[in-house]
Amino acid sequence: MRKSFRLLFSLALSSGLAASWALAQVSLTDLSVALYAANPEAPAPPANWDVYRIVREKLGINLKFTMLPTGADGDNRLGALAAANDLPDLFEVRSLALFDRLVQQGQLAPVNSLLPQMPGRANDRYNDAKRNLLVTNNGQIYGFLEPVTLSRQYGIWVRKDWLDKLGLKTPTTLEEFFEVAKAFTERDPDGNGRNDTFGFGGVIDFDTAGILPGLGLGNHFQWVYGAYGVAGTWNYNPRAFAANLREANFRKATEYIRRLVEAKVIDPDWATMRRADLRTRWQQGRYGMFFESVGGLQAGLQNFHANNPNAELLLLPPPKGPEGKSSMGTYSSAGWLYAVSKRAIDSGKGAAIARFLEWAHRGEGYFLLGWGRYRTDYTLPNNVPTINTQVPINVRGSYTQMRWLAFNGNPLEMRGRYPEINVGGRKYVMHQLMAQAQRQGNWIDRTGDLVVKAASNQADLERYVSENLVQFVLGQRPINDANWSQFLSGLRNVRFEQYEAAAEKALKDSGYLR
Amino acid sequence: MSFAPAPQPNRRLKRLAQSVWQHRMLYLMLLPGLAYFIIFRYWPLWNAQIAFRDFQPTLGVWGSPWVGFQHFQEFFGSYYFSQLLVNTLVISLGKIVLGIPPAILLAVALHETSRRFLSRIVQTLSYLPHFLSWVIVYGILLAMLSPSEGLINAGLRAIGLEPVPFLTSTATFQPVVVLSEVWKETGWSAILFLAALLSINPALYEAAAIDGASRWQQIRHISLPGMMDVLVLVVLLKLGSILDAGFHQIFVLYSLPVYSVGDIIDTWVYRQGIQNFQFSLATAVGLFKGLIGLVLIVVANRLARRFVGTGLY
Repeated sequence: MRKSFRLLFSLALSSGLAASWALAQVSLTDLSVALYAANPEAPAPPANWDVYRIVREKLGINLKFTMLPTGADGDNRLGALAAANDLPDLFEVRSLALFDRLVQQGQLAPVNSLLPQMPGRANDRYNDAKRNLLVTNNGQIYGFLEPVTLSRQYGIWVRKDWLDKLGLKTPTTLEEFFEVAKAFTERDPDGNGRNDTFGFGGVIDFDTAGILPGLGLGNHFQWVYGAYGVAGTWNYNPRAFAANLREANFRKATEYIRRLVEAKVIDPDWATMRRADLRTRWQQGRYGMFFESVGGLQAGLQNFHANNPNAELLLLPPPKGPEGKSSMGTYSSAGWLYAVSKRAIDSGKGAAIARFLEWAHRGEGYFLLGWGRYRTDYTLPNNVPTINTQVPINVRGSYTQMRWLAFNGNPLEMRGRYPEINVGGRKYVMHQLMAQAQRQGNWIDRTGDLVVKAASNQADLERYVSENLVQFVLGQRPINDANWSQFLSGLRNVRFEQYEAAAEKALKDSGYLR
Repeated sequence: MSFAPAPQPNRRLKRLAQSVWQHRMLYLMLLPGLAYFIIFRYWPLWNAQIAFRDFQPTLGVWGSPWVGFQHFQEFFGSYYFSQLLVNTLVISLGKIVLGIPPAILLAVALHETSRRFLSRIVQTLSYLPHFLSWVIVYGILLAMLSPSEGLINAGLRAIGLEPVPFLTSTATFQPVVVLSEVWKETGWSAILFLAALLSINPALYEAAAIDGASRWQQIRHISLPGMMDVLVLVVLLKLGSILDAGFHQIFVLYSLPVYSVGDIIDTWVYRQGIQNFQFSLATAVGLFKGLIGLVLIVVANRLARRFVGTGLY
């Protein structure tokens, strides 16, 4: 009797376990997520990452995470997936040209119906109607457009030790900037007896992370155009809307950059160098002033102080132009954009996507995705999450590759991400430097630029403007009335007027131009 | 007069089957190559029709609407079309004209040397650059040509001359592109010519030597004519891809100051077609390039057969 009871009991138990296991298997939703690498220097999360297990057990989601390469390679990879009609369920889009195309082609699903399914996240992040307008088409919202978590983080850094050594004051105007740059180039500020330093280091760079470069020479020279009141692509003047390059001051700003190049105070390799080359060179101590983000500075400080033991850096306010104007450049208040493929919604994955995003918004999900492993990758002194800089980024970074899904940009978060660093006997409070860069940069909000669709001949148009400006700056074409008029009249050849008209209409329709 | 009766169809079929079975190993060896061409060369031709459609991935190749020659017109109508074509042709022809003679010279020199050990070392060293990626070559070029820290410019400064911005000057960019390609590929290209030289009957050289021919005369009258078939083959193949001026190389080396001389069809397609996700446009340009290549191969092959007596087919 007892034997048969045991047998019956074990049978019942095993069948119960099997049933619950089968149920768990049946209710699991496969969810493919593709995001740009948050830490390109670190590999993808390992297969035994806790997040995979927790998401499976608590959310019933079988998460498949794919890391996209940053920059154009990632855009191209998404483009190829789109061409094969094989987009991931949830993915990040950084190219607005791709986003527009995917909407046109019907490959994206409207996300309006998902918002009520993640009330916390939707309320905190997606309740800005004006921002949502940037991703709205025919009344439908085609993506989760986050508030910006990091912007205006760039600035011009100056070697204070060199200023002191040469008896110079911190430059505040374009003219003073020129004189200081000249001294840094010609007066051997590093005292090595060689003519191997330059006044300013910057490259042609069109990175859009937290900054909007505008047509022309890119991010690193926007401060010159800002000093003449013509930073960014458009003038946002409702009575006489036009591209800034048509303004007389745009020519003056270009002439100023030509002066810097002609005086050889800029690294002569600037036109061919990449951002990585610039970083190598300022870390070597070759520049008296250079354009860099606070994050880029944080990553390079160790090397910099190893190469330049007595160096000291200051963050320069944007130099003022002849009319007293100044700005480090333009930025957008819109952050990362996540889209949901139509295939995912059609196959009933909408609820799982909402569940996952809500989980990533706060609590356990927020900390796991945003900060990594507690007590290994980060700690919580005074309840402020603080990254553990002792763990190298190429290790720590693997566990936070999805951090942009979690981060929301609040001040505590900034303190944790940009902590106090002691290097080379100096203390850098990175979050204070970040706040300083944002505050003193006189940054101009040009979020509206994002509603302007790419022209059908965008590549020709961008090339025309940038190439001509580079030729002027390098002296390949002298900047005179005849050549400048020719440049402006040549805009017609790339149908620039149509682009301008389309931009004006889009900005007026969306309320950014009144 | 009598006529042999035509073989019955089933008999012919049987004979074919017998022949196939008899040479089954050869046919088996043919299969992978055949499969490669069908899968990777002919099947994509079906998809090339998107050049004439507004390709919509959700509708597929077959379901996307026809747009005729719109994408071709867009390409031909580009403000930079003529410049792109000229740059592509100049760089491509430069690579052919300046690339083949050094390869022939190297092959002849390797063939002529009596020191086999030295020949093998030189051969191996000259192949090596072929295996370097263009990104690495860019690093090498920057280390040599950079105005601020390049070796060549350091030399120029040392003798009191102004540094030359080789990579950003419109006057020097194309020569840098062509010469760096020649440096990278000469050793590899010499393999074909060396193979042609090794296939020449040694008796010809022995007979020429007995008749008193000098080394130079042997090269001129035996080696060079012996390489003619291979030379024609190489030139014809290169002409077939004349509109491929080397995307990877240019993409790594070019920058805004030299777009006017460095922007080629493929880099334009990358910016306008791939980066703006206009795959139909990119395919249309690919078809255009293929068509031009085909026409050039056919014409050049006829000319080669007529004037040199040999051709590709």
